[in-house]
Amino acid sequence: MDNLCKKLIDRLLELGADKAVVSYNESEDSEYNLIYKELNLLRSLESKRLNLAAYKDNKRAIKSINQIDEASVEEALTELIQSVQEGNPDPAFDIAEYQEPAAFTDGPLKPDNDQIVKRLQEFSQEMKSQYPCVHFDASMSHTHSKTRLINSNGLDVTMERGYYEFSTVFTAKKDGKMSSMNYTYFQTANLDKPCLDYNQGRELIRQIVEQTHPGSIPQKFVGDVILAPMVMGGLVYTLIQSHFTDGTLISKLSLFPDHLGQKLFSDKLTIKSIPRDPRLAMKYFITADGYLAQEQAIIENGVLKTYPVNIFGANKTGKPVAKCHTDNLVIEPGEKSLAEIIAGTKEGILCMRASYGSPSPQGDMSTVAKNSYYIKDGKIICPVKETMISFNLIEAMNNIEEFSSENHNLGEMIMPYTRISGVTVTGK
Amino acid sequence: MKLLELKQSLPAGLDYWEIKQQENRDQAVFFLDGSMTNNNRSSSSGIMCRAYKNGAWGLASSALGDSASLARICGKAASNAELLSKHRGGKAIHLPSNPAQGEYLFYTKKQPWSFAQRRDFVLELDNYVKTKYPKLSSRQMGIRQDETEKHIITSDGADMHVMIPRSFLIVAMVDTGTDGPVQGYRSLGGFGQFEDIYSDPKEVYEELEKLYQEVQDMKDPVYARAGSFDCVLDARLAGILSHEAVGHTTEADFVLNGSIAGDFLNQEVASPLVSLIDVAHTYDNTICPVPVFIDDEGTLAEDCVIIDKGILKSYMHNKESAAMLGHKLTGNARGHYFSDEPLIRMRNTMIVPGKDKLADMIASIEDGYYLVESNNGQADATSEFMFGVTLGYEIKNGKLGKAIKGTTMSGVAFDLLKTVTMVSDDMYWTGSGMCGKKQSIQVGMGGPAIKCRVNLGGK
Repeated sequence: MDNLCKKLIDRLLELGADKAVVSYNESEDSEYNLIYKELNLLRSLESKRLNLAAYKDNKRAIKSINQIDEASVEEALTELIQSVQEGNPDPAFDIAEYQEPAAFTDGPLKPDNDQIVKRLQEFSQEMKSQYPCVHFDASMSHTHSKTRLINSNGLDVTMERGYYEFSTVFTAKKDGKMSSMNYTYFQTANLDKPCLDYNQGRELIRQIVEQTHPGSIPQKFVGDVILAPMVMGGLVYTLIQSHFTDGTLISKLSLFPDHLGQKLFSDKLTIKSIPRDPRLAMKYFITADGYLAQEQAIIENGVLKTYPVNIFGANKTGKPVAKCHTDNLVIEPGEKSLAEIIAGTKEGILCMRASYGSPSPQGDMSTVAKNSYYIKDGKIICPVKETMISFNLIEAMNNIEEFSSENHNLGEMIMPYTRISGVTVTGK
Repeated sequence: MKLLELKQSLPAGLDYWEIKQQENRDQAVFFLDGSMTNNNRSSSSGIMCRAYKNGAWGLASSALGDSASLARICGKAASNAELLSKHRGGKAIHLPSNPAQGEYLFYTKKQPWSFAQRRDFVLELDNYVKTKYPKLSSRQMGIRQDETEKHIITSDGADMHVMIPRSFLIVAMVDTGTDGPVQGYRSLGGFGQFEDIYSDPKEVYEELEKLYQEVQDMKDPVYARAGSFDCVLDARLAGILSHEAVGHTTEADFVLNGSIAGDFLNQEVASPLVSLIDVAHTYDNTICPVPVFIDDEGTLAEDCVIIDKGILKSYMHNKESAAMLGHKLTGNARGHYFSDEPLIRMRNTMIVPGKDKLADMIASIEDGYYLVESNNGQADATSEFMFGVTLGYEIKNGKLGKAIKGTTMSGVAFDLLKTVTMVSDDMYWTGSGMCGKKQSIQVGMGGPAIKCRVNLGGK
């Protein structure tokens, strides 16, 4: 790894590239799987990935391979050079300028396999003994990866990181009735506590049991929706991708193509990308272009502060290159607990999972409220079934009432519960 | 590489094993408003060994191709199975077997196009769109090709070598409507290498015109009303209905994890007009978008008739689920990359065409919707599904009305299918689908237009 990237930069320049970027990644994964409630599969994966990008006469080509023997690499270089020569030019293609070399290391680089087995067995035993009507699969893995990225301007960054990841999918069957599936996941730097202690995991399992017996709700009403942290995270990500990133700006689909510094959303809304937030297990150190990643507010008090665009997008749109991705999104918690927020809701839905398609370019969308609850006069009345919530995503981000004091740390984002007013709820 | 030599690296005493050598190759060339934005090629190859002992699976994989690494991978898979079997509480089961041998390599027999020929094909189409539809605010045109080549041997005697290509021409048009931008999108193509599907850009003009007209329709849309309505689902939507609404619930791993389909075997779950099949490789004498002749456990792949005239008849299986439920193997075990374990995956899931005409179906609805295009969908163990509807129209008094804004359609599949009253006689395959159940993998899906009762989101 130490010499490979540098050699390949030199080789691409020798072959006629004006500029070049090379990244090389090696990773190892150990993944333990509980299937049909039992330890069933252990996977050990060794991966490599070599990404080559050549720039010539304002043209760009990219080749990615995972065989790094001399013959495979030489074949890839030849194909890449031919491909860039036959490409079409766009002056927007460019690479990051020189930065001081940097190296980053984060997280557990070696797996504690005994602890992984212990945590999974503990999870399985609690699920089977405490929640016998719940069906579940789960997996826990450890990933160790090392990446080096070099470009022909002298940029040189090395990153090595390790992390654990847990995920589980579950459903319940009771008295001949069944719930919807639900799931949860997290990434973490250590295995200090049981899996169900993360992000109200035990509460989600309790809920899935009672969701086998949903109640009836009014056929249609306009009210509030309290979005669970994972749902809010998904919607915020969708909002950013739909209006503020490269593709949507270049293809003129964004409703906000030239709105930097303008207030677009509720002043309660602040969304930051925090690449190296110590609370997050999945840190990122550089952007895709190779810039050292920095904490940046994308939305601050409702005002658009950053278009998270890369070099190509920036050159195409005339905006500054962002020093962040759309990952590691963080919304800080509010003042009231979830219980207080529910108590303050006249009529609405506590939406624990949302199943939806992409919103229209205007932001109109409908989502099926899964694993969710009907709230009336400040109380949770019953789990719901076949319930649809319709709203405009942009209006919704202007109708934020409050964030909960609880938040969920999924390892790649931190989100609170969020109450939004003015949504149309259709029940059955 | 000689896979058979590798089995020497496996210890005695395993209940079952498979060794897979695989390469995935991808190419993407895209233009946005005439500028080449993507000129990317990628390949990923390596070896995977999976071993089964005392009810536990061990798997190891590596990109490295030297003999020592490969032997080490096989040994690691076996030791993983051994290790896990010591921790596991469940009992071992005997895996069923229906091994097959064969070679299915779908390389084009035509002269392969050079990169420059492909680029020029796309550029010519892009120029056509630019000239013919000058008022579009943005256009995107590109090709994407993926090829999966794998060689698998198993301890029960299977030996298969396949190369399955898919090629797509992808077009997006953006225009400005009364409420802002509107976008139309089409992925054309499917099974085969690019040269097998396209020869002349003019062949695509008709589809481009249809897409443009749809974009024009979407410029002044109305909200769908929220609620339950009689709808006609176009054949373009039937595939996702068969995949999301029914297919996932009848994958046997879903069934073993409590899917509602587990309660309904041999019971009526749909109108007698509905038959639904997961086709292995060939339907109506034509190779399907994602043909599977032998699955990744070496099992002979056979059609799985899931619903026959409204009756739920069978589930899709891998070896383990077939053993646990005592059912016949179907050949649905598939992994996407070399490092992936085979999971129960659909292949080409379709609703069998009926005898009705689309025009009559639309004419039969007094107040409802004609839903045409979807962008994604999700399933649930309850058979409650949803998919995003990106193109649809009002139906008023048997006639098509205005286009509707994007919405979401949902329902409980086994309720919805009982409301089916008409099934069209046409058939549309979607070949560009990727299903994301742990691993993203290619799937085919198709069917005719269907008249049924549907829940819609909206105002």
